[in-house]
Amino acid sequence: MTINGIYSIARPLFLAAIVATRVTAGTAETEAMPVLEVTGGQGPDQSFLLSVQDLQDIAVENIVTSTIWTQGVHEFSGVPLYTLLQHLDVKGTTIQAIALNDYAVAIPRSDARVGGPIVAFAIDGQPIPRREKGPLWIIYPFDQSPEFRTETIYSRSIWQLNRLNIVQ
Amino acid sequence: MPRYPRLFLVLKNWVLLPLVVLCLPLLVLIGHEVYRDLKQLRSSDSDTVQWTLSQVEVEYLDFLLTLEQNNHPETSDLAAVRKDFDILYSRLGILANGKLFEPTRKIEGFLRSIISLQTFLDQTIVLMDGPDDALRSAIPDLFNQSAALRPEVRSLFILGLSHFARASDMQRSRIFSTLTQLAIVSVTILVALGALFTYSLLANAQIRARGRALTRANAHMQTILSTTQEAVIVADTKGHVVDLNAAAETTFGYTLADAKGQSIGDLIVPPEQQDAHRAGFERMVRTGKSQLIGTGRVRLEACRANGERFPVDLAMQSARTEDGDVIIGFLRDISQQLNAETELRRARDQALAGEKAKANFLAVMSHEIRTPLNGLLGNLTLISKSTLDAGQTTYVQNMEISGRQLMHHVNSILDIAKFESGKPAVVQSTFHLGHFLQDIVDGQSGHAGRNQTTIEWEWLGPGLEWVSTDQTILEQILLNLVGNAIKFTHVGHISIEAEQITPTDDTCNVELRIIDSGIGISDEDQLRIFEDFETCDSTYTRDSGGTGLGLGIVRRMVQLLGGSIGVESTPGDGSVFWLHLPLLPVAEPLPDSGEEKARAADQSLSILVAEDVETNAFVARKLLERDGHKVTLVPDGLAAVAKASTETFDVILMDISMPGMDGLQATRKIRAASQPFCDIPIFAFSANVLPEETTHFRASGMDGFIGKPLQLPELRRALQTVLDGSCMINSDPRNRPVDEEAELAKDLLNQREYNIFLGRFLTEGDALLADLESDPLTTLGFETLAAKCHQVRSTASLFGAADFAASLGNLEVAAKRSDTSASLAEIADLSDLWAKTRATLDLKSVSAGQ
Repeated sequence: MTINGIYSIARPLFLAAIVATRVTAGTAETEAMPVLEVTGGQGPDQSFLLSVQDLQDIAVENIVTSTIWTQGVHEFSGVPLYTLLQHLDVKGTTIQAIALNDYAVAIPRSDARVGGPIVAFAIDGQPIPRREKGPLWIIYPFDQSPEFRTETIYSRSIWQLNRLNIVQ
Repeated sequence: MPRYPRLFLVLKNWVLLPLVVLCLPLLVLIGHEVYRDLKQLRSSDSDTVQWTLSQVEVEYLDFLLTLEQNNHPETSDLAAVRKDFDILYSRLGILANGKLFEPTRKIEGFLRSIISLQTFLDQTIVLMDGPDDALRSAIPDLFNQSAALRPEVRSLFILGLSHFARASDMQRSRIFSTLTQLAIVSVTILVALGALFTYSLLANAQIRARGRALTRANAHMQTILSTTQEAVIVADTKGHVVDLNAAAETTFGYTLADAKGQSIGDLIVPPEQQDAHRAGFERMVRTGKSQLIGTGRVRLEACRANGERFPVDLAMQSARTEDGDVIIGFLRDISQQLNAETELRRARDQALAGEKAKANFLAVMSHEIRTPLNGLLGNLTLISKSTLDAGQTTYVQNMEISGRQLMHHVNSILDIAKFESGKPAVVQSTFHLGHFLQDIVDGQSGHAGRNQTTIEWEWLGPGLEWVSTDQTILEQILLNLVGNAIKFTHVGHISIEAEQITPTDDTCNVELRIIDSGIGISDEDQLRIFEDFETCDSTYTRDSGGTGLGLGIVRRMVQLLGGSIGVESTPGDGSVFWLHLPLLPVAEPLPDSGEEKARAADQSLSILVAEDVETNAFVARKLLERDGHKVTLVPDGLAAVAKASTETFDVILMDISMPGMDGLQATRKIRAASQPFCDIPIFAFSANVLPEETTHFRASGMDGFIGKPLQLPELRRALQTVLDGSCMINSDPRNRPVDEEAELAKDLLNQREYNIFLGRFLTEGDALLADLESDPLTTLGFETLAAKCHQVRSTASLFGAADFAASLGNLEVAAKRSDTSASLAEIADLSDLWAKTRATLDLKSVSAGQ
């Protein structure tokens, strides 16, 4: 569990402010708001800002599973991490995933494969609110295999995700 | 293990193997459990809880800090407040709803804290989602409310943490116990497997040792089989040779390669026995039985490869092998053994024939020497009775002395022959010991006088008068010893001492000592003088003469009387021969018995003498006629039979060896003749005096025996028995209606009882005979007849009426079988037998009545 909390405090605050202000706005508007910043992978200063709509446009995959943090089985919908990174055409061995509360975890690039985790933006067909660990949540298909029910995978299953930093 | 093989087997079969078998599923079960636990550890969801729990407090504090920082309305950053609220809300949602905390929520304090926190957050949602102003103005209040919740947050963390620590402890201890169980089971299995491994090692070692022992035993067996002289042939049940040993190869002349697979019958059985062999073998295979297998050795004839035949000893055994049953034959060439046996048998036969020839020679010689000697001495006796001048008398006396000496030697040899061919019977007689010794001294003083030696006898201590022993033998003993003493004593003294031995030595009660003052006997000689043909030094022997048989015979005769003999002597001073004898003291007999019998009979008898040698016949006639008897001479057996069948004599003296019909045949003829010629006493008259010969004489029907040369006393004694009727006619037993020897009644009953029973027997017999005369088979019936016969028969046996009893027995058997013809035949015989029996018994009855 690696926490790289030394980031400029301004950007997250800014992003958080954007997210916060759009929560109360309409659904379409909310979906168009940038929720994920992807940095690294191509050039030192290159970055992407992606909205839920952007993510939805790349690809949507559903994972039906239970989690240790919720009650019962839910259907999570999101873009596969593998597809996302391919889509963005980023290179790197490690994906640094960072949450709203600056929780950060390193996900090896090898996790991002077909049948691997998705960056979920909806639960049971509904967008995930920030108060309920939204808007983005990396979900592994936990119920599918015991290899996804390990401490490491749980730690990578980060919620209130807002940044991905691809490290070479 | 060799010491406790059973224990090991029991352990292996009943402890170790079941242990392993039981432990294996247990191991699988526990292994499964361990796998499950490990899997659980691997996919553990519990470790994240600490993070989550601590994160609640961290995010609560973040929220509190944010509230505090934005306490002033002008500087308040509501977005940060809202964000931290959402983060805290999300975090608490995990505690309130997450699967991970389901067990934790069961703890009362934990749930209560969640509810109060959740309540606060839910109430706050309105403010958070509401207008900024309202929120801004509510921040101080929110801060206070949030700060107040701090203990709840703290308790959440502590309660949760302690719960998960406990759960973790439990899981660890469960895993620990599972692993311990696993270890125990594994160790148990390991130990059991180890023990089994050890066992298998030991068993393996033992098997190898056994294998080695077996190899050794096989090698020994091979060595034995290849070195034994006995031929060993192994054949299968078809009779084909499977194996041969070296001895079999040499014995039969076949090599193993030649013989293998061939029929044993073709190889070693002689051609004419092959059919029998094949049949026997087939029967054995079919029935599994053979007369030969396991029954010891049998003797057979076998054939070698070159066709030579030889006798073998065969033993067979059957054995079971992996290739089926085999028959093992052990054969031994016994031709040499048989040859040796034949040799041995021949040698024994020759030895026996030699012995027989010797005995015959002795008997013949005695006859051939004694017969002419008999004539010589008889004629001398007759000459001495005629008128002679002084010179002639001396010559005759000298001749007689020489003749008697010669006779003595011949008799000595004959005595030995007698002893060699069987013990002569001891005839007890009663005599006066003092008179007897006086007679000996009187008889020998003449001889002693010629050597200028005096002789006398005396009792030492109290004497005995009448004693009982064999007088003739005792006389021979003393004459021999005194004769020796006289021979070896010149100008000396001989005394016979008699002394009673108290206490008696064994049964001997009298010691007789013959003491001389002669030349004595050296110590070495003392040891051997009682042996046959032993004399003292040769010069002396020549001087005194002798066959060397004297003391040997004496020793035998002393033993015959139940006594013992010994010698003590000092060379030059004289010798003492002592005798220990059982001489039973008896009462003085009536004056007219005993030696008086040897007197001439006062009654004249008519005597038939059958003798082929004229001289002997002449002497016999003269001697008998001198005693006043009437003598008829015949030259052979045939003439004797003819004479005896026409004339009745009082007694017949019958020579044994005569030309034509010998004495024995003649006797049988006479005994077979009719009354009154058959009942005449017949005495054998022979120089052949061997015991078996005299038995032979008796068997042919003779009543007594008179030795040749004819001795007057012996002759007179024999004739006396005829005169006083004590001579039992030894006629054919069939002609003797009452066998006195078999007459039990005499022994059992006193005179009065005897008479009563005899009377009763005669009455019973008469009654039975009366019944038998009148058609008994119809009047009595078989059953009653048998019963009557049985009753009379037992009484008849009591009185020795053997023939009558036997005939009754036959009739009884015949009657019981209801055999009419046999019964009638016996009845016809019975009346004649009863007449004879009654005649004899009547006499007894009369004499008893006197």
